[in-house]
Amino acid sequence: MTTQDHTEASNAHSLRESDIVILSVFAIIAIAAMAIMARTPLLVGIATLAGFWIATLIFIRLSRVLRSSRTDQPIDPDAFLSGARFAATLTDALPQAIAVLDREGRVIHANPLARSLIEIDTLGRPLSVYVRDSDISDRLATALAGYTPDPLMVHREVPTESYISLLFSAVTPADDGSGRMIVLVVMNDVTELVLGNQRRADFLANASHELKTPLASMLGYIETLRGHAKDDPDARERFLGIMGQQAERMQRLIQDLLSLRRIEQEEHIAPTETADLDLSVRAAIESVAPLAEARGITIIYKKKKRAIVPGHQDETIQLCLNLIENATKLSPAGATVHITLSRFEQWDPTIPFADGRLSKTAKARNINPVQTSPLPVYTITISDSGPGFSREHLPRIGERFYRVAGDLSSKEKGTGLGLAIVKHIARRHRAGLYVRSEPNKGTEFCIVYQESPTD
Amino acid sequence: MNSLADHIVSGYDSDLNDLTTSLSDLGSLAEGMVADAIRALNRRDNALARSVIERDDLANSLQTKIDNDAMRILALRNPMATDLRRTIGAIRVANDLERIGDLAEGIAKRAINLNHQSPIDLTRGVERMGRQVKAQLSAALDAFLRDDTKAAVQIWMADNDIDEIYNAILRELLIYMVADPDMINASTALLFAAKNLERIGDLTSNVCEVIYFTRHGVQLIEDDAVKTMMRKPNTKKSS
Repeated sequence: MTTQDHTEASNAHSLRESDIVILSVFAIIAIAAMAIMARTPLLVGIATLAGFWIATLIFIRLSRVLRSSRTDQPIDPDAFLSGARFAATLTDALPQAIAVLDREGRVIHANPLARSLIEIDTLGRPLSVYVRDSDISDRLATALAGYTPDPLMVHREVPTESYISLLFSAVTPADDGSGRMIVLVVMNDVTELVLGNQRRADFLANASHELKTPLASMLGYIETLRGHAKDDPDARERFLGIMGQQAERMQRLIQDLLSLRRIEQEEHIAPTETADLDLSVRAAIESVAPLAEARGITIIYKKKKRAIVPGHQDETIQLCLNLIENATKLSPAGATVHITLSRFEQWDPTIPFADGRLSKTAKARNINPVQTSPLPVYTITISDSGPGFSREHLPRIGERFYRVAGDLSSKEKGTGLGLAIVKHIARRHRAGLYVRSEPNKGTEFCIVYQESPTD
Repeated sequence: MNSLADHIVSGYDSDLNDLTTSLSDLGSLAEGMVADAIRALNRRDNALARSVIERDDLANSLQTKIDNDAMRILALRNPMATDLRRTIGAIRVANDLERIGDLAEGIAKRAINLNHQSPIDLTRGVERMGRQVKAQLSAALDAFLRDDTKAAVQIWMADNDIDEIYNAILRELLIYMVADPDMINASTALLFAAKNLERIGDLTSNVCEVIYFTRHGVQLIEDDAVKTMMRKPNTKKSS
């Protein structure tokens, strides 16, 4: 890196400087000796000038030493930790994210939990590179002044929304000898605490709002059955059928809301297990088979064996299932749904829809951006030949309860949560999600997964 | 995990670090202003809107500080290569962030104006757009502080989505205004708020361009990924 070039250049520079000092000392001794011996006024003059030259050099040196002792030298992480290696090892073993800062707020040590929590990749850079909040410098100053600052809550949005609480406390290490203070930062992931309440409220609001309509319609039928349809067996059969459908719909809705809530809760924790995408697609196709058969829809799957990615197997199945089920429901009877699983050596932004079937001019939207990574990627592309939708709907696809008006007959109407679930699963798995559509031609979804690094 | 090579002159390092810290502070300030302006619009919260307007002075003074610090580095340290580009980049990003603060202030003023009128449904659309813009801004600031050029390219390309949302909102607002002339006042205020958000999105892409230039010394538009996206979808596929 360029910073290193800089160091080398400066090193060369300081070497040259000390060489000049030594050479000059020799030169002045020689000139002085000659001047004394020859008593020539010219040589005496040169010797005096050389004396000034040396004095200036020494003055510059001294002032530099003085200045550097005034400002705080950055603590060299290696030198510091050779004395405190034991303490550092201890923090590495603690089940708590901990970072050590120098007086200037630079991270000089971070235990593995801290490194993964706020993604520290380089030591020696300021803490505010990793967590951003205008109050950090304040808290740091308070801690260095010997007080205990209040905990600071930092809101982060990348890669997923999360809240981290930071506690600062300053100490002077006993064995360092320099008397320089260091600051210990204790970090806690409090996302669940902060967002939990809000999500509970959202859940209640969503559930009650969405259950209101089917409940009202059921109450209406019950009323009718109690009243004038009491002795009409035909009407009773028909009404009970409708009520059954409504009850099933409510059940589906509650199931979807519950699984959405579960996924949302874990969203800020990246999955540690691995899933096989090929297996997921095949499992999803199997579940959709009865529906596809009933509607005379052919599902063509171009597969790729063993696509191992970081993810939860059940969740990848649900993700594929929701998308394939949507495609099957939306395609006209007798149509074909195309699913393609591919592998690409290197991620680049043209990969989504490389397997697509719509024209290249179709407007695409990325619902979840792909996390950049040098690893190979897998893509699943699902194309239907349904009614599609026009571009003004594009920004809202994946939003909870958002339905493109008139896209489905009321009988087949979903819960309006299917794509929201897909979006949240993709987000939790750190996978990319793309959609594009052309009215009257069809809709395509593309999911981009990084390959599992262990594979 | 590697530790950063220091410059021989430690004052230089601490100057560059101070610059990074100030930029991080200004960034989080601008981020907070955008988030709060949108929240004020959504919750009809006048006090919050006023606090956004007040914070603009702080943003201005932080920008001046960064400008001065960067100029001092240029004058005293003669930075080279990446350090030079980083210093110039700091000046440019500080400028963009200060503009973002101004635009957030504009949204807050519109919010106060809107709160005098009856609630309008379309606020939700603007709020949704705001959330996305704010997320883009946060991602860009993260990429800037971490020198992540790949993320910068991604964010830069995602700006199209913001433009798309803006167009959708514009269409909806026009329909609203045609349908009910009483709504023209409120709709115009919302339109300005949406326009400001769209501009914030543009400034966010500027930040991404700076990240790219600082690291590579060439413009982002020259990047292979950007070029391929602009030209033709590729079909090379591995086995």
